[in-house]
Amino acid sequence: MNYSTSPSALGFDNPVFDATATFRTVLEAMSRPATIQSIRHVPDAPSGIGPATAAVLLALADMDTPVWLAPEVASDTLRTYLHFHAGCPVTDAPEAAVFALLGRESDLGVIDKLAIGSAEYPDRSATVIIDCESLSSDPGQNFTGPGIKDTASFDIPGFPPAIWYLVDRNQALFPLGLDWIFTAGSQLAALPRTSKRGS
Amino acid sequence: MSNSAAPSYNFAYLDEQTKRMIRRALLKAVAIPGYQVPFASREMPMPYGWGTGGIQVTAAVIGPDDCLKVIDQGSDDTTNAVSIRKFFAKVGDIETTEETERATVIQTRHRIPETELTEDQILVYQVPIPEPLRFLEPKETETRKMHALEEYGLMHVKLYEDISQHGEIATTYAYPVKVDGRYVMDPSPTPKFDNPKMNNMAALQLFGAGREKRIYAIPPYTEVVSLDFDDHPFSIQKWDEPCALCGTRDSFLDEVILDDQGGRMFVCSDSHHCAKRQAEGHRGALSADPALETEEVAP
Ligand SMILES: [Zn+2]
Repeated sequence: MNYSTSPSALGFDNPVFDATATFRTVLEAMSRPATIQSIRHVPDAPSGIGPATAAVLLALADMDTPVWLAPEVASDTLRTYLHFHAGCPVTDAPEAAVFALLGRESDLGVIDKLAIGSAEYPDRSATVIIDCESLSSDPGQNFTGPGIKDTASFDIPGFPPAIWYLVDRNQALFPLGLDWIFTAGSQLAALPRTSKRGS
Repeated sequence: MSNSAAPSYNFAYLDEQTKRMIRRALLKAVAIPGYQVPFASREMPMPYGWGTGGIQVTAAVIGPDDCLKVIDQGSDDTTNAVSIRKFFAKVGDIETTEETERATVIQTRHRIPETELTEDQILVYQVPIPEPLRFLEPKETETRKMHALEEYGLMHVKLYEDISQHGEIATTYAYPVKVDGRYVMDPSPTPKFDNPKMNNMAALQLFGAGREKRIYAIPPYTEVVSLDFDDHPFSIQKWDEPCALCGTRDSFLDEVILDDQGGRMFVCSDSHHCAKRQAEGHRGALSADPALETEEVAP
């Protein structure tokens, strides 16, 4: 891989404040699961991923966090962008990933290979970022759990329903498990492993 | 504040890599309520007893749009609270306040404000000893195993022994809680009076222990139960008299010695809450005459 060329997309306007604002949005999303949040200062993002996805990776990934990219999103443009703006290693081994990025067309089979943490260290688990077409808070899937006052409605229009099977199975692993961030455009929503899907 | 012109390197003291590491730990802490996430605590320009864990969490969370309140004991005016406020005003140009309602981030040691917190606020606790099982088991590898296996029986035995010796659970500070029915957590060093406020709180609660390098969290609207027994249910401290200054019977009171003749009074430990009530016209037994206090000031 040749990284000598500059990335075509510029990243955050102000790396320090935009990363802080993005982190706060992700913290809000993770603290109030299934609510749709907007990234206020989106970075210039390379083609193939949305600005919210780019914001999350630039805000949270660095040389300590191997990122795994699904084949559909793993363009040279994105690799160069992440190398230049985040400095994070891109790994071919899903089990080593701290962040795993999937696109709307990606094979969900890789989910089973990601780290779910151990009984003593359940925090040593991957965070999955799925770049979607759109997010909806219309009645769809209903969630309960920490961070949710009564129930929260959330859906990913047009996304393969198999994702909910994976979310359910992951939730049953608590306190182990993955944490999910769904992005679309400059929006995102999160489902920590504690969020339980109802009928 | 303008994003483009502002000096931003090491905003709020910590370098960006450290902030990212703490931020990732905070997100996992929120995803696993009550579980202690290890983090690589940094040296801070103040000694450990001053709440370096809470300060690092606040520094990783806070931005130029925030308004910070810092309380120690219950007061905004102790040396510790004033120093931490000044620190963030200096290293981040952060707006600070003593008004609970105005703050977006509240850093605390010992108390949860009496004013009910909202969804738009984050409460950051500075924690000296994060491990509720430490007094039972000094080895970290063992306490981790106990948490992993939900082995909390010894904890219950210790509390019950407390009852058989004292007739009630004598632990009044750092009284252990169970978060979302899973992890036993130490809310230290808050008084047990504040434990019920943690339950189903609208605000996000974050905990930082600097010396022990642990971060943990309680998401909003999460069940927090104080450990107890059917024959000895959990109860909070009560006082025989109301606050001598504002007359409330609902807040945590501190004893204040008035003279060397044994004179004393009980007043709200939450100084902002007490001042606000007095400003609203509430009076206690030792308040000055309200008529004399409310001087009209020409606009
Ligand atoms: Zn009072």
